[in-house]
Amino acid sequence: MSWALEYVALFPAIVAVSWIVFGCLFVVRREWRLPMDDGFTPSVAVVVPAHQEELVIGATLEALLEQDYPAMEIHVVSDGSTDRTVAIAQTFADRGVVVHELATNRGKSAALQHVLDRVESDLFMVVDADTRARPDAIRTLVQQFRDPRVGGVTGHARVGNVTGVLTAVQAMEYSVIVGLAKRAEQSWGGLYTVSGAAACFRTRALREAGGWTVPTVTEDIEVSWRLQREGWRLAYDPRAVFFIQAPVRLRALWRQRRRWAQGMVEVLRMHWNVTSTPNRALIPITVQVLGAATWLIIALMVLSNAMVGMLGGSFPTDSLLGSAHADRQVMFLWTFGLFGLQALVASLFDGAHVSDGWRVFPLFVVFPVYFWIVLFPSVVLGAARGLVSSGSTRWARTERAEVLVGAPAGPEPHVRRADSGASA
Amino acid sequence: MIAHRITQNVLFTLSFLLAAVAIWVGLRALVLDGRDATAGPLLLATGFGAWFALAAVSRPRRGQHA
Repeated sequence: MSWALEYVALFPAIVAVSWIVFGCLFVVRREWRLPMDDGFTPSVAVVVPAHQEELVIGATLEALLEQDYPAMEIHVVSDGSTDRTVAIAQTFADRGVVVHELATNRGKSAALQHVLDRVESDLFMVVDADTRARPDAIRTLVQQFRDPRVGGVTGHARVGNVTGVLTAVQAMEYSVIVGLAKRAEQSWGGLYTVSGAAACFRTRALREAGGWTVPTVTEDIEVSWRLQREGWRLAYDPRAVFFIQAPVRLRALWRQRRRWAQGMVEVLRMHWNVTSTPNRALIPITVQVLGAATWLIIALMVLSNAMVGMLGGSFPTDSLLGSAHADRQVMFLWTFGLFGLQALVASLFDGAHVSDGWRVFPLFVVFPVYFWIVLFPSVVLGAARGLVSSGSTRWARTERAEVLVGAPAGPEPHVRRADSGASA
Repeated sequence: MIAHRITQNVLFTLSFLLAAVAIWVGLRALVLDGRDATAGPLLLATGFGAWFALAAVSRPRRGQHA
């Protein structure tokens, strides 16, 4: 099992080094030179799909109406909401917000397609109902479309509801893993996925690629791969900051991560043949995803082996660390150290765009615990479901709260929670 | 045309995998065979350099969808 242990220990180290190296390249070659031309104002349809979002829809619309961008229209599409979502959205009608009401719940993709069929804007932007945009976010995001090859742009998603340890660790994860991964992938020419919470697309590109018509639990990953397979570039702009809500409870987080993993496998099944695409930017991303999938399988093998040892009545030191313990411990220490360096680099990069870039950095020390207890089992289960699922467009249920700390609409003095529909 | 594209992309995929193997062997040598001062870093640098070069020529061509 020594090769398996080496792979389990060193694959995360390889990923850390890769993301640091290629993330730095992105920052030096692109991030410091990202365009900003206030005279470039293509028309944008901002679409907020909503299902049972009465707790958050008002603040989200307020944040959108505070955008310093002149050429935008805001659409709310209620997908079978039975709460006060529509009533609240309609109070913004006199400020130009268009409300679409779908009688039955058909899922996020169908809600987005409903609006895509009805708009004539140059760009089509998706903002989740719990996501609050910083006032300059849309003006910043559209700048990438000056490049005619760009079909979609995603912004800098930050956790806005850091109210406890679980959300704080997720805030660190978004910065240290999601943010740095996107920077590295941009150096390779593509993106694994846009952020479903805040992404903007060239309307023509979306329509040419087929729109929001493919049934999957993670429509953001699927549309990202489809656009790139069609030859469009996806871009990441870390200056465009959006505050999202992370799950507050373990159960909601578990479901979210299980769904993401299921979506990843569904997308791999749908787009397995990246070799037939004219856009080779997906090849390094596919190699990375396959490396991660292999890691997952091997880690399961190692853990199973250890459990067999435990059932035999002995602590499975050999199974978990190999027979030459000192060497194996060195590998795991290297990996942990490199992850710390990754956290340092990512916090440094994010600190250029947000005032609290460093706030969550120290939490990298607890990430291994969070990973093995929460992420690993949920991802294994989700990946297994993805292998046998036939696709779904139903809304997943995510917990909502009114408070978004650091978000532009400002924190509320209390927190109310409810189970509400959302897709990441 | 399609066969040509597939052949090219398969070669690209294999090249990326080769670069990944070089990174793997390099990092492994650096971590486990720390006494060897050159082989690990050299392989690491070669792997990353190859990956970067491959990514640079893999991007969509200028003018595509313009």
